Amino acid sequence: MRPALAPERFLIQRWPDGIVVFDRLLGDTHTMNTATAALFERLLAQPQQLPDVAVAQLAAEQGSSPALWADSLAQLGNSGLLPRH
Amino acid sequence: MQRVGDLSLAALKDGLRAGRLGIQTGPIWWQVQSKLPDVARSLHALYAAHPCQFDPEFADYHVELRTPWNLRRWLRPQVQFYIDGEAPFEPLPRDQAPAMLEWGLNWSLAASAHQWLNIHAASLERNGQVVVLPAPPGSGKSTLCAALALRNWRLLSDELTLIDPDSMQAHALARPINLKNASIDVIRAFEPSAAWAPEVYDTTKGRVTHLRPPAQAVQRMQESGTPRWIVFPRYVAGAEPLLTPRSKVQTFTHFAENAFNYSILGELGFATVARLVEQCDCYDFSYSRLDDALEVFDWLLNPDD
Repeated sequence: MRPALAPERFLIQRWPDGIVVFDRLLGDTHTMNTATAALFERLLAQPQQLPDVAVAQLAAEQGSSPALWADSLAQLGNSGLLPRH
Repeated sequence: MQRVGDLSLAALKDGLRAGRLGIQTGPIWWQVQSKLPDVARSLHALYAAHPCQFDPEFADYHVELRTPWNLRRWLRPQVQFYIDGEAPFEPLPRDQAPAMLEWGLNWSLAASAHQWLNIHAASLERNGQVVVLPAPPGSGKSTLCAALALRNWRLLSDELTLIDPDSMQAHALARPINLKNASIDVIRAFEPSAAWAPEVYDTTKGRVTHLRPPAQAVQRMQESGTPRWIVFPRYVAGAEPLLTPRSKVQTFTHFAENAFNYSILGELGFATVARLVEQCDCYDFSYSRLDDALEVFDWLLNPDD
């Protein structure tokens, strides 16, 4: 079963061009550009939110098309970093 | 404290033969054993300024270089590196023994010195501040490292940079600098008075040798320094010097993929690399002439000049 997305599970280092994330549970390291980082941190702050809803919110806030977030969503999914629902 | 250069070559050979000789490089004591005369000559030349001791009470590593006892001792003889009685890699041709010792010492640290974050990078200090030079083979890292070490920068290490996860200080090893092929000729021309080990031919890296570390680097090898810059050098024939800011995320990724013990250290490895990258200015640097490179590195110290 995929482990839950909880803030205490991760160490995060933030820089202007993105973030790096250490998964304490699995020992994995992830690097994310600013868009993926924004989505990841939104889901981390609101783990009950559906990923597609988070994408729609971010797209609305930033005036971009939700389709532009497809790569970010895919990266988080491939990395096992989407919340369980 | 006695230094290797204080010993006669005969005394050094006797100590090595009996496995009684300890040599200190930075925070590490090595107890070395070998009956091979070229290994003794190489140590005498390259480690002249390093502290040494017969029968040290403690050594971090016990290493030995000897010829395997097989038929090849007559036909195309070989040499084998041992650490704590184990041979971690394949033997090499006998004439590569001195170089194999250096590579074996590197391997020993990379494989087990996990009290530090162990980065594949050169590092040099000036005014208490350290520049870290990570780079893949062929980038000109060691050539640039040698030039800086011969001109006002204090050599901490050519191959392995050791970062203390608590203090975030870079430790000095002050060991010889490994150069190969055209780089040897470049540095010979750059500093004709430099001291070298004999060249070895036909290695997997081509023609190789080691440059003796400057005496002041050895004398000050207990002094650590604060990492301040991370510079990825790249030799480009004919290029004008160009220093460009580098992404911190990319820099982090490089270390996460190339530090010898990033995964072993786990969370501590992540935190240490993150702090290292955070506290340093990160650059890519392309160059073709060493004098230009030296000027750029001097500028790092005083960017407002």
